[in-house]
Amino acid sequence: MMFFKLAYFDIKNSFNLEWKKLLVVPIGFLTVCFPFYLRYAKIGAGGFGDFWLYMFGGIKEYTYDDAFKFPVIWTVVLLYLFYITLYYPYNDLLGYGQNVLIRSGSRFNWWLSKCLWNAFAVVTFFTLGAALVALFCVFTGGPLSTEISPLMYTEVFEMAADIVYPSYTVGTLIGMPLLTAVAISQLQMLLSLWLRPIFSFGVTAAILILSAYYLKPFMVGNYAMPIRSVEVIPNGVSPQNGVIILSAIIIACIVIGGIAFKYYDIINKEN
Amino acid sequence: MKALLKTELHKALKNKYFFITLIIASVIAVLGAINRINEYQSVLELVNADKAAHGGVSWRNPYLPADTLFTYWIGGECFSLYFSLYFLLIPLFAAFPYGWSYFMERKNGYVKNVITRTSKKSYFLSKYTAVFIAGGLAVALPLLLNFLTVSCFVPARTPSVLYSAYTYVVFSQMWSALFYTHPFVYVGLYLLLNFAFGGLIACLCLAISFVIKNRVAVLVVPLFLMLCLNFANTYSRSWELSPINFLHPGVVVNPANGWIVLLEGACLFAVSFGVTMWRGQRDDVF
Repeated sequence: MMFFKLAYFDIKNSFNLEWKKLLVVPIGFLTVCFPFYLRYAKIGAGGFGDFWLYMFGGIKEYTYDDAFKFPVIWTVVLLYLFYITLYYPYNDLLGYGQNVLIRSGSRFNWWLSKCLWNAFAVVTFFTLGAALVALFCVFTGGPLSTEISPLMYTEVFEMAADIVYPSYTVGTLIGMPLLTAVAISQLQMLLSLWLRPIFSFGVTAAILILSAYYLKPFMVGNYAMPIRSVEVIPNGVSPQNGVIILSAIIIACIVIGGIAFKYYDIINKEN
Repeated sequence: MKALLKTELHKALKNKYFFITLIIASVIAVLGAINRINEYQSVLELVNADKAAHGGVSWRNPYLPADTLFTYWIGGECFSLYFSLYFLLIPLFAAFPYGWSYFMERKNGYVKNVITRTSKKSYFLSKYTAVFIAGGLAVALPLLLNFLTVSCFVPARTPSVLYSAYTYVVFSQMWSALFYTHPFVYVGLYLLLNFAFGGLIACLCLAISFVIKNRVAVLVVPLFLMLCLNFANTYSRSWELSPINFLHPGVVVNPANGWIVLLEGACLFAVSFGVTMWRGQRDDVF
C-alpha cells in the first residue's frame, strides 16, 4: 500500500514541478511534423506511420563510404525525453524526498517508486507524441495507419531502392522505441546515483551516438530505430531479442539500483 | 577589476569540473587519434606490400597527398565515431567547466559577498571572461592534443587540391584555399574558432542562468539549441547552419560559410554578453 502511495506521490509531485518541460513537447513535435509535411507530402508521405518513422526511424546502417552524420531528429527527441526524466529523482533526493523516504520506511520501495515514475514519464511522453502526430494527421488529411509510403525509405532515409520494404507492426514502430527509451532512461537514473545527472546525461548521449554508429545487438539504441529492424534489413536487430535484452536492462537497473540505494549515503550527496 | 579577474580565472581553471571535462574530452580525442593512427598504419602496409611486390616501386597510386596529418586528425576525418561524439558533445564540454558558476554563486550567496566589495560591472565582466576562457580551453585543448598525437605518427604533407574528394575540404568551404596552401594556418584558425565558440557556448550558459532556475537545464539548454540548429540544417541544402558541423574543419554535411559562422558567433556574443551585463547589473541579488 505504501509503495502505491509513493508512486502516486511521485507522479503527482513530478507533474507539479516539471510540467513546463512537457510544454516543449507539442512545440517540438509540430516543428518536426510541419516542415516534413511541406516537403514530403508531395511524394505521398503524410500518414501517421510516415511522421512517426521520420521522428523515430533513426538512420540507416553506417558503412564508412561517406562522412558519418548522426540522426538529428531521433537524437533530439530522445535526448529531450531523457532530459525530462533526468533531474526529478536527484532533486527529490536532495529535498522533500528525504522526508518521504524516512516516512515510507523502505529505501527499496522509494527506489521502485522512482523506477515506476520513470517508466510512466516515458510512456506519457510517447502517448503525448503519438496523440500530437495523430492530431496533425487528422488536420492534414493523412491516414491514421502504420503503413509507410515506399518513397520514405529511399527519399528520407536514402536506403536502397531495389528492395521491397515491409510494413511495420505497431510493436516495431512504436513499441520498440518506447521500450528502449524506458530501458535507457532507467539506466540513466541508475547512473545518476553515482555520477552527477549531467554526466549520466552525457553517457546517455554517448549511448545514442554509439548506437547510431554501430549496428550491433548490444548497442541498445538500435532497437529504437525501426529502419534497423530485421523486418526491414537482413542484418538488422531482432525485436524479439530486443525485448529480452531491454527487459533484462530494466530489471537489472531496478535490482542493482535497489541494492545500491539501500547503502547509499544521502547526507554526503548534498555536499 | 584585475584582482577579481585573477580570482575568477583561478576558480575557473583550477576547479575539478574543468579537469574532469578536460579528461573526458581528451580521452575521446586520444582514442580518436589511436583509431586514425592505426588506420594510417594499415594504409602504409598496403603501400609497402605494393612496393615489395613490384621491386620497390609503387604500381598503384598511394594517394599520399590525401593521407596526411591534416586529413587524419580529428578535425580532418569524418569517418570515426570519435569525431562525431566529440563535436556533438562540444556544447556540454564547453558548458561543464564553469558555465554553471554564476548560477551556483547566486544560489549559495557568494555573489552578495563580492558585489558589496566591488562593482557589479567588474564582477560580471570578470565572470564573463573567465567563463569564456574556461569553455574555450575545454573545447580547444583536447583538439590540440589530438592534433599533436597524430602528428607524431602521420607526416604533415601539404594536401593537394587534386585529391579534394578524399580530404573533405571542398572549394566552397570557408578558408579552403589555406587548407591546400598553408594547412597549419588552417588548423590553427579552426582551433581558434573552436576556442571562440566553446567560450561563447559557455557564456550562453551564464546568460541562461539569469532566466532558468535549474542547474542541469543551464548546462543542457545550449546543447539543445545546437541540436535545433542541426535540425534546421536538414532543410538547408547549400550552407552549414549548425556549429556542431561547421566547427569541424572538414565538410560533414554542408560547406561552412564564413558569414554564417560570423553571424552566429555575433548572435551568441550579443545574447550572452548583453543578457549578462544588462540583467547582471539590473537584477537584485539580495
